Amino acid sequence: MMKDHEMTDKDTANTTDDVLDGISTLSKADEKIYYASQWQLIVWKFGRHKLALISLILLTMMYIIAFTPGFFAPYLKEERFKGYQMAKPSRVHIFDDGKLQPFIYDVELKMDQETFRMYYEENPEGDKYPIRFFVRGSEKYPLFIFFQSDMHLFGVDEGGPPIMLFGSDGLGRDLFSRIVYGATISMTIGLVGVTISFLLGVILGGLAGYVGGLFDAVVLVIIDLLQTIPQTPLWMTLSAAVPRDIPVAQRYFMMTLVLSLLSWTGLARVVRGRLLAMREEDFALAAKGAGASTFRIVTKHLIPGFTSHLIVSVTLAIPSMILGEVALGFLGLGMQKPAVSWGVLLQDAQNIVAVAHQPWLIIPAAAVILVILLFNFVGDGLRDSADPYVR
Amino acid sequence: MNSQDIILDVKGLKKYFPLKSGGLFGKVQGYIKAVDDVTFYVKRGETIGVVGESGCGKTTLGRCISLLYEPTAGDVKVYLDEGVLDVGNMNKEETKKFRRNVQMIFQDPYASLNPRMTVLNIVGESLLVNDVAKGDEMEQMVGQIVQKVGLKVEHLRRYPHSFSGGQRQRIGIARALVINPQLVVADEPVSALDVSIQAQILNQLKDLQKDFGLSYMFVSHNMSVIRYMSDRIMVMYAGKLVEMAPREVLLNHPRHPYTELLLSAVPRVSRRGSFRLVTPGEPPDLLNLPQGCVFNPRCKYAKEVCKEVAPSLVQVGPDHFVRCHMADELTLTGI
Repeated sequence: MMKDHEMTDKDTANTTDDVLDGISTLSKADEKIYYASQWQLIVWKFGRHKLALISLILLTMMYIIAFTPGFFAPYLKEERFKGYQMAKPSRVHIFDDGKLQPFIYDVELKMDQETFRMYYEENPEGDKYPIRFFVRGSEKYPLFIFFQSDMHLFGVDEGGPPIMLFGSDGLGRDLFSRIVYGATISMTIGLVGVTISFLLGVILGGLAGYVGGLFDAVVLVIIDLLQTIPQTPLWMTLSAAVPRDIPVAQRYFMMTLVLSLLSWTGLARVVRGRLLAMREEDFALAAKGAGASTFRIVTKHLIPGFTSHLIVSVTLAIPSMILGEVALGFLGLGMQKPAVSWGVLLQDAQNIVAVAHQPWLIIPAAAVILVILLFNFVGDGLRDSADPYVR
Repeated sequence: MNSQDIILDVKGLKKYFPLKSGGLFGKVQGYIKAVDDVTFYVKRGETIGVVGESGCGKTTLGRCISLLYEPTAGDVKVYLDEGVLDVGNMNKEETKKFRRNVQMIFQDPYASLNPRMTVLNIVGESLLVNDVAKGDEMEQMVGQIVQKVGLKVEHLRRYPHSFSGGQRQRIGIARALVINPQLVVADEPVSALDVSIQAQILNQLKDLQKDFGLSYMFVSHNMSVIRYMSDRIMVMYAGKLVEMAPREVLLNHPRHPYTELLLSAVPRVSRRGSFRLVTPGEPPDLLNLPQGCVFNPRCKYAKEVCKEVAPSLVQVGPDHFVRCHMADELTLTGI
């Protein structure tokens, strides 16, 4: 027994310590963790968070759709179908005589005997119009600004009724297509707004935390002041001050400014707090003792130390921006027609009569809820995995 | 004193932390005198131990010496092989030279290593920022020092989370030594470790001292560790240096009542029964220090003069300094 021990000791004669011997006998999986950086650990931990992972995949798909609406929408956003005002959502039949072939039936116009309203009803005796994929549309739409295309993911042959998955609005426009188009504005306004407030927050919060003194005090007072103002009324005031007759792109930019003007304060507080806390951490002091410059300490030691927390705060800040845009749009203060955003679409659902007769007009709200839920799930997952050293 | 023999000479070092009331127009309400008028020196190649209870200012003293904190007042001189540095007024070049030669080992092996950097980058940082080496050359130097402290070259690409407390502390030691300093301030380097690991690290530090000809300023609250490591011992109380003497002298013939108290708390195998001084009172409130001698409320020998006049540091023997009015009258018990 004793001899065996001495033998193994000789193998590791260079390292004087037995404490270290444990390390060499580790499995491959453990080995991988030892060489993993913090980012890898975060990614691994996030990967184990199934709900967040699925949400992230769905969100990514939704953003792909939001950036190429023309392809995913069967029709253009202003394409009107005469006679199809306020049409019910088309009923899609999946199987045709036992074969997998989605189709819709032809429709016929009927009248409600009580209200004398005209409405379309599918006619099971009529012609079948199969749903085809990668069909050519009637007009070209711009794709990624520089390109033009008339390809749509799905559609039906011409001659039959239009396929309206979510019904149509009062002008006979396909609501599904308009929701897809609206995603572009509604889903990106949160991203752009968060980017602006992120820059403001990191710069002001960072300076406040690092410079300290009077600057810190002034920034804190400004933050306190901004946070005391109720959010929605201030948004309403500011967006009412934006001129109504400016181009869509300009208005879009103004809206992001309005939205991010308030929300940078939370981020600034996070940055300031983390900086203050981490400046006193031993490893920051150690870097100072090693002779590192202030700039190096901040950029190499402090900022990497809380980027993961920042990403979480940013992810959780996006939903409130999206909600802000929708709320303003709904009230008629956000984006204006002819721009299409979910808030603008929901204007049609403002009165109870419309909603009672055409319940599909509130479907854009479902899109909003879905996106916000997905963002919150992703944010939760990120928060759980942001600090991989906490178990 | 011959300046050839000493590496660090500190006179009247003070570090006060202002206490501000919060808010925009916060006023300074007072000062915490973490280090108050401390005078000492470190000889070349020796280990000076700094001991005292929690909050006595020993860590602050160490951080002032390694210039992690800016001292409020005092005169600190470092006698390096390549010249004298007056720490109070150094230019950029001299500060760099100071950083290269005075390094620090931290107490907490978990907090003192940046979890986002590999061992190579943690240890190599001082080489990089002081323009000593980079790239392959840096890796080679880091590899050498890492082996010297008992780690392996294969560990260089790993992150701190893959190491145990003892191993992390070795990384911290490697970081302090890689740039070949002359004075190392070790701030409680083993107090966060298991007892079995403590002995390994302490012996390692002793070996490294021999190999590199280092001078240590060794801060600890543990009298046994101080006793094992130090050539001379400084005892601090409430920010003040109360006694400083060569190890055997201080252990056998303490001249300050607080030193006696500390020594009585060291557990011993040989002695049965109880000779354990009961400590009256509480640790001092740094915001509200007592009049006269700071130790008088807890001192069983205190007389009237102790409550009125603050004693000054006096020399009572070769290398032996005491801050007590009655140093000459008392006969105190050592170990």
